[in-house]
Amino acid sequence: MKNKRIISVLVIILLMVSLLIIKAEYASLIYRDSTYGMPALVAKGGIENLYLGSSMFRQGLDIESIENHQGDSYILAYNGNQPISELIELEYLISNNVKIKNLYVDMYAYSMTAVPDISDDKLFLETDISTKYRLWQSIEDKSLRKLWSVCVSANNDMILTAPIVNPILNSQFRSGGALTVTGGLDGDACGKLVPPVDTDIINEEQKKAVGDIVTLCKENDIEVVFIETPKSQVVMRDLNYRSIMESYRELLDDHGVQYISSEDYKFDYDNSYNFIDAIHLSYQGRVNFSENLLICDKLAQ
Amino acid sequence: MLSFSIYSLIIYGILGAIIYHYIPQKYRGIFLSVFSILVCTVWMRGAVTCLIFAISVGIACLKLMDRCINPDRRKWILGVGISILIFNLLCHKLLYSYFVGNKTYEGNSFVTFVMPLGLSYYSFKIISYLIDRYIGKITNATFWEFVSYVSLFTQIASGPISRYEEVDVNSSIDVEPKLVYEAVYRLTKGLFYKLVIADRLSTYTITVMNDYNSYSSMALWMAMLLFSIELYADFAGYSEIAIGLCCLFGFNVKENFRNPYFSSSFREFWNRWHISLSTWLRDYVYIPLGGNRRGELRKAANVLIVFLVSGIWHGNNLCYILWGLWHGILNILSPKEIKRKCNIYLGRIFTFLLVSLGWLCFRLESVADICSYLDGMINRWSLSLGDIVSSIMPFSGDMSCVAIVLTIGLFIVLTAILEWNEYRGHKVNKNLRVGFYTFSVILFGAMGANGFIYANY
Repeated sequence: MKNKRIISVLVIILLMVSLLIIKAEYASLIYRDSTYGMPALVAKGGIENLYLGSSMFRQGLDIESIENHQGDSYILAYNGNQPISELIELEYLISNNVKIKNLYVDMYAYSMTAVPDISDDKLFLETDISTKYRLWQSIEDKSLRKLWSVCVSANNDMILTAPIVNPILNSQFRSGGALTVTGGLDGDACGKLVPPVDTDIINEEQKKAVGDIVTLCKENDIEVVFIETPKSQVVMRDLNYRSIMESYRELLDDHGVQYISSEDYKFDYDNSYNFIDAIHLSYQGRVNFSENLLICDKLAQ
Repeated sequence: MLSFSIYSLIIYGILGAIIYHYIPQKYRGIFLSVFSILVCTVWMRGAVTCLIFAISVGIACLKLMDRCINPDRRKWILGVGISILIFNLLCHKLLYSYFVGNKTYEGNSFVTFVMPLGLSYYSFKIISYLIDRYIGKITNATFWEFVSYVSLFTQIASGPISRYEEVDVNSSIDVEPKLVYEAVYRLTKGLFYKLVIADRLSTYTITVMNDYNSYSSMALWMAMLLFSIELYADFAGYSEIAIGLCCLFGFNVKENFRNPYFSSSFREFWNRWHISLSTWLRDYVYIPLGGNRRGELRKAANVLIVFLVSGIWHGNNLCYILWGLWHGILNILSPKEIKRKCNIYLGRIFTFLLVSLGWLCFRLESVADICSYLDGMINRWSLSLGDIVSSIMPFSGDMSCVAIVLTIGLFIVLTAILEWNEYRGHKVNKNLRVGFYTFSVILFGAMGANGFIYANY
């Protein structure tokens, strides 16, 4: 009886470990038919215009406007995406034979000051074991709690409820771009916004990752352009933000890379309804920005 | 050193139990006392002096009572001892209410000293011991046995408020496979309730209840009902872990919860919720006041007093007194027996709703907040799609939290089914449940900071 119990426990442990390994390697297959994320892009096999970034891009770029102007396009955005993780995502796509002609990278100032981390667990769901390992190696917080989250508990809700949740989420996106219509802020709310970060010290690993993205693009004949999305006035006027953006522009100049900053397109920063918070655009702001971006001279070049 | 959390409780509990069973019987009281005080020192830091003070008052009272033959004088000594303990408890609650309520404190160390972990629980344990000793129910406990009973670290944070005979080191049995299995069952169940239900629900309740003026009536109703479930899962989860750890020590501690949310009346609810507190109040407040032996009016008054004491035990903020009054009045009005089946089902729904309304007193900071919240529940109904969506999923700009909402909903339904089976008295397949709880905790447990709500009382 005792032996039977021990064997049962061992079998259950083995089953659980096997499930976790299968999840780590193959869970992304559930999302190959999605309208967003990396598995769908890998399934597509290639894209002419790829917009790679954080929630700034997901909230800030209107896929309908982009497709009308540029044709075949895709927005690949994860919450809190940083240059380090963007580099790994790009390497993953290239290693999975995704052909990219033009790459547009999110020129988000605060990601340059951030300690390497992965905010969006979906990244661990949508990649294979070796890429998960690389992502894990890149982050600074290697606590047991984080390791448990990465290897065991992250995204289980999504997998468990995939039959119901996937169709709902797919209806919210097209080619990775959000279709949701969000309202903007009124003047009073806008007046209470504060910049989310209070430092201008650039993280060296993020800086190196930007250089590595540029190098990777050159090696694979990908035209790369960095794009700054509009932020609320309180951020645009913040001295730290301006200092970081100046350093970012100098870095890109050193690498001989094109960028489109806030000076290169028109945008109504005074209209509070263009924003839902200090750094993200509303639906109205998204459409306005996208239309202005796509007709700006630098992008046309 | 691990500060107080679910993980430190389990680690110290298992470690302590292993050492405990290697120690000869006659030294177990000393070991458990010393080990418990050491663990409490790690958890409470300087505030352990409060525990030592309370134990000292208890010891002094016992010694004086033992030396005294005059029954009136013994009664007087008992009264003084109980008064000092209650005074100590009330002072700490007042200080906590003043400083923390006014936000004039800085840092957790001050809070832990002003409202030490477990003060309410061990104060009541000492009082029950003193009274039981006075009436002759306990006759031969030694100094170390008393200290180990009061300071037992597995129960210090959130109870149960066990009686001495439940955790008497002399009656602890040697560990055997059946006991270990029972402990495993309770530990996995407790972890499931805490990590899979309570901690996940807290994401929703915190988001809505901390900013309730921004949400529609639907969100406020949902938050209220989900907070009820969260509070139960948190507290019952802790109790299961505490009782499970006591099993490892060989103690036979009674249940603290018996599926209370299926109760069809308030009377039944209080026979199933926080049973160790309700029986304590019955034995040491209600019955000494006369119970139901002096007419209906006096009985109603006694019930009200009991629930007021219960409210003050939880906190001396007006909200808790209001909560005590709420339960007292509803208990008085509660029918003795419900015969018709449809009335039983209606009774279950109303009892759950009324109990949930009462929990607002625990969650909100003032009576004004409660009134404002209730007003929101009534006057901010909206059938717009945006409001309905933000009621169900208030904490994410995108729809990915649909998965989280569906998962927690699934687990609540599964838990309700399991609890309903227990309530009906059906046989519990513990093997299957251990597997289910373990599987769910590993894959879906929220591995956050993991304190306990009821450790604040």
